[in-house]
Amino acid sequence: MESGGGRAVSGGGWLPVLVIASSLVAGLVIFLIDERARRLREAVNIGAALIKLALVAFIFYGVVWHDHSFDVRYQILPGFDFLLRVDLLSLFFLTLSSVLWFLTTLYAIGYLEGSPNRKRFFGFFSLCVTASVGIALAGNLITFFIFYEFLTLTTYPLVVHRGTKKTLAAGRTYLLYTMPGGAALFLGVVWLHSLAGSFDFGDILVIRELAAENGVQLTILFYVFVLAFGVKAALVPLHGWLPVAMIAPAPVSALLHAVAVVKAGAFGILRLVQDVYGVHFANEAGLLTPLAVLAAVTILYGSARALAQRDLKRRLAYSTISQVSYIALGVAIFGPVATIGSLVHLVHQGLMKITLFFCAGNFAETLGIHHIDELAGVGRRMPWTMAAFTVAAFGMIGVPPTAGFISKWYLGTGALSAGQTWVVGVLVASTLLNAAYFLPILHIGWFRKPAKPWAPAKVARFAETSRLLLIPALVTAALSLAVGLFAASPFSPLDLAVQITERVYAK
Amino acid sequence: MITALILGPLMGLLAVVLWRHRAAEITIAATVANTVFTAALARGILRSGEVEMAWWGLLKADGLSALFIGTTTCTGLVIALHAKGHRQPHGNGPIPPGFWPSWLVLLTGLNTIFLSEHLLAMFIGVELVGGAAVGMVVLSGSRRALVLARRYFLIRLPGSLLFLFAIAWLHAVYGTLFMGELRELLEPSAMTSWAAVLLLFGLLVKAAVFPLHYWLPAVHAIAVGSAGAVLSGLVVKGPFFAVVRIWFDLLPTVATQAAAAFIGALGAAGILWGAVHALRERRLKLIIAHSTVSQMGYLLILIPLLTGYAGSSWAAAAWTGGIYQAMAHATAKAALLMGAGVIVYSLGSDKLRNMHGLAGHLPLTTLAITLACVSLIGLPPSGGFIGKWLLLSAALQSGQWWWAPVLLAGSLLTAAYAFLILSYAFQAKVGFATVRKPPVLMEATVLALAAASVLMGLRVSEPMQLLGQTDEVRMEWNPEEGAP
Repeated sequence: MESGGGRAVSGGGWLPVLVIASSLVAGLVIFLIDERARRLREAVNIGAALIKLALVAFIFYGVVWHDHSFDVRYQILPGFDFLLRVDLLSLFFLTLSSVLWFLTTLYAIGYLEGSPNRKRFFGFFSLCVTASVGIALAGNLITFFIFYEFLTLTTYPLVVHRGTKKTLAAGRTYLLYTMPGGAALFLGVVWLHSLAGSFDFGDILVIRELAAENGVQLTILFYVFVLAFGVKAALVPLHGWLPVAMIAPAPVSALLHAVAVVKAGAFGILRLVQDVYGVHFANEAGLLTPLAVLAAVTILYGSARALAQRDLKRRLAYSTISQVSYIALGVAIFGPVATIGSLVHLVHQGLMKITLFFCAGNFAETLGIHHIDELAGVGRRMPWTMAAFTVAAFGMIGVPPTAGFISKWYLGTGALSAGQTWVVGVLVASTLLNAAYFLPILHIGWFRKPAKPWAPAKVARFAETSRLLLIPALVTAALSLAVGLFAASPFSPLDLAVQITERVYAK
Repeated sequence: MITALILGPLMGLLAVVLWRHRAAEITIAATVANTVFTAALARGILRSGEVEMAWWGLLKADGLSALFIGTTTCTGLVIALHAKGHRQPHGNGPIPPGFWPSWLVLLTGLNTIFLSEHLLAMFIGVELVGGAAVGMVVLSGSRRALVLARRYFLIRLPGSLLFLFAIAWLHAVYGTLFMGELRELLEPSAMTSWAAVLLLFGLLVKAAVFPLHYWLPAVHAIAVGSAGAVLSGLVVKGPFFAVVRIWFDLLPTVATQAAAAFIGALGAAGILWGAVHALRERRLKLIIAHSTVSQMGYLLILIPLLTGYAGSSWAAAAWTGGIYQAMAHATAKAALLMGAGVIVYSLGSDKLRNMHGLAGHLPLTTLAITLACVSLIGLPPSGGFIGKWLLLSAALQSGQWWWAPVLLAGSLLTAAYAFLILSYAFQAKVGFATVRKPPVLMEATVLALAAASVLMGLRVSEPMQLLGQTDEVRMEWNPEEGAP
C-alpha cells in the first residue's frame, strides 16, 4: 500500500540502502584499521559522513521537489518484510541525523584527540548512526524494531567507553532500562502482527478494522508501545538511565540527547500515533489524553529536577528529559497545529541540545569545568563558546526568534485551538523553570568574576579552544537561530512539518 | 545420499585409524564430504518435494532431517577447523588426538538419529552419540574430567536401558518398530502411555531438560574448547530431535495436550532456572553451560504450541520457530564455547575477573562472543531472533499467552548474563598478567560461526521451504490471514 497517497513511485530504491551502508561500512572498515592509523580513520569517518550527506541531499531533492518515493522491500518470511522507505517524516529525521552526525564526527575527532581506544569508539559511533538512520528509514514496525535494538547494542560500548567502574555501572543502568524496553517493543510488535497480520507504516486502516473486535487489546497494546518507546524517550518514570548515562564522553552525550537514543524513542511515539494507529483513531479511542498527561508530568518533573543540579551536564540531561517530552505532548494533543509544534521540535530540540552539549564539552575539555559555579567569568575566556551556549539556552527557554520559540508557539496555540487550556499552563510553568535554570548559568558565565586565574588550556589553541571543538558548536548554534529566523521560508523544518501534518490529518 | 551420510564418516573413521598421523586432515575432509552430501540431499528434497527412503525403510530423510544434518555438519566443520588450529593453554601442543575419531563417531551417530525411521536405528544413533560424547569429555585427561565422564556415562545408562526396554515392549505388542507403521497401530491406552514415557524419559535426560539437567553444566564446562562446543552445541540436539520425531511422528494419536503442556512447563522452568544460574556463575564456561539448559528449554515450548494444532494458522510459525531456535542455538553456543577456549588459551583461565580489559586485547574474540550473545538473546536480525519471534507469535496466536512472559523473561535474563560477560571485557583495568596471541585459525573460526548465527536470520525462506516440502500438515502457510 502506498503511504503518501498518490505519490509517484520511481526507481532509485537503492538510495536508502546506500544511506544505511555509508555508515555501516565505514564502521566496519574502522574496526579493521590499525589503532595508530589516525589519519586514515579520520578520512574514512569524514568521507562516509560526507557521502551520507550527499545521498540524503539527493533524496531530499527527489522527495521534496519531485515527489519521488523510495522503497526497498526484502521478504525475510511470508508476512515479515524488511522495508526501507522514505516518506516526509523519515526524511525529516534522516536529514537531522546525517547533518548532526557530520558535525559530531568533527567534534569527536577533536574531543578524543590522544585518548586510547579511538578505533573502538569511532567504529561503534558509525554503527550507532547507522541505527538511527535505519530508524528514520524503517517502513514498518519490524524494521523499526530491528534498528531500535541495534541502537541499544551499539550505544552501550559508547556509554562505557572509558571503562571505569563508574561508567560500567552507568552502562548497566542503561541496559537495565533499555533491554526491558526492547522486550516490551518485541512483545508489542509480535502481538500486533498476530492480530493484524503484516502491514506497513501508514496503513492505518488495518487498526481501524480490528477495533470493532479487539478494542481492549488495542488499547493495552498502545500502552505497551508507549512503555517501550518511553524508555528511550525518557518519559517519567522510565527516565532513570538518562542522567546516569551522562558519564559518557561529551560527543556521545550530544548524540544520545540530540539525535540517537532519546530521539529514537520520541520518533517511535510519532510513528505509533501517526502511522500505526492514526491520529483520528487514537483520538476517538481516547488513547491520547493519558499520553499527554504523562508527557506534561515529564516536562515539569524534568525541569524541576534540572533546577536542583549543580553539575552542568546533569542539568542538561534533566533538561533533555523535559524538552523531548514536548514532542510527545504535541503529538498527544489532537489537532494539526500542536502536531506541527511537535514535529518541528524534533529538529529544533536536536539542534539546540547538541549545541549545549558541545559547549559543555568544550568547557570541560579546555578548562576542566564541570560544575556550574566553576563557569564564573568563562564568557571572557571563551566568548565564542559561551555565545553559542547562550543562543541555544535562549532557544530552550523559547525566546523569540530562536527555534524554541517556534516550537512553543505552535504547541501553545495548538493546545488552545484543541481546547486543552491546561497545556498552556504546563508550557508557561516549564518556560519559567527553563529560564530559572538557564539564566543563572548565563549570568555566572558572562558577568561573575572568575575565582582564580584560568589554568592553561588542555588542548591545542585556536583563539579559545581547538578548532574542531569550536566550529561544530558555532554551526549548530547558528542553525538553531536560522531555523527560527527563517521558519516561514520554504523547506524550513517548519514548512516540512506543516506538510507532514497535512498528510497525517488528511487520512 | 543417505547411504553416503552414514558410511562417509565411518570410512573417515577407518582412515583415521589407519593413518593416525593424518587424523586431523582426514577428519576435516570427511566432514567437508558430509557437508557436500547434505547439500545434495537438501537440493534433492527441495526439487522433488519428496521424502527420501533408504536401507529397506530403516532410514528416511525429510526436510527436517536435512535441516538438522545441515546445521550440525556445517557447525561441525567450523569446529573441526577450530580444533585443527587449537593449541593447549599449557604448553602449546595440539588438541588431544582422541578428538578426531570421537568427532567422526559422533557425526555418524547424529546423522543416524536425524535419518532414523526405525526406533532401533534411532537407539543406535543415540548410543553412538553418547559414547562419543563421553570420549569428548575425557579429552582433557584430567582426573576431574575422568570422574565427570564416568558420572556422565552412568547418568545416561538408565535412560538408554529404559528406551531399549520400551522398544522391546512395543515390538512385542505391535510387531514393528518402523515409526510410520507403528503410528497407525498405536492406540491410546495405559500401556502405550507408559511406553511413551519410557521412550521420552531417557531422551529428556540426555537433552538436559529441567529437572534432569543437573549433570550438564559441570560436564560441558570441563571439556576443552572444541569438544565443549560439540557437546553444548550439537550433542544435545540429537536427543532433542529424537523427542520431536517420536512426539510428532510416532505419537500424534496418543499425545495429549495435557502431556504437551507438562513438557512445555518443564521447558519453561528450564529457561528460567538455567538463566538465573548462569547469572550467578563467575566462570565463563559455567555461564555458557547453564545457558545451554536455558536455551534447550525454548525448544520444548514447541511441543505445547503444536500438539493438537496441526494445520492451524500458527502451526507453521511454531514449527519453523522451534527448529530455527535449535539451529541458531547450535551455532551460537558452539561459537561461545570455542570463544571461551580461545580465552582460556590466551589468559590461562576463564574466570570473569581475569577477563577485565579483554576487549582491548582480543577484539575479534570479544566481537564473536558479542555476536553469539546477540543470537542467544534473540536480538534482530539473528537466527535466534527469528526463532523467538516465531515462537512468541505462535504462542499469542494460539491463545497460549502464558508462554509469552517466559520467553521474554528468558531473553532478558540472557541479556543480563551476556552483558555481565561483556562488562568485564570492556573494563579499562586489565585483569590478566600476560596475554598470548591465539592462532589466527582459532579466532577466525569463532568469528565465522558467530557471524553465521547472526546472519542466518536474514535468509529464512529456504529452510522454511525445506520444512514445508515434506511436511505439509504442519506447514500449511497462509500469509493472507495468519502472519507469523
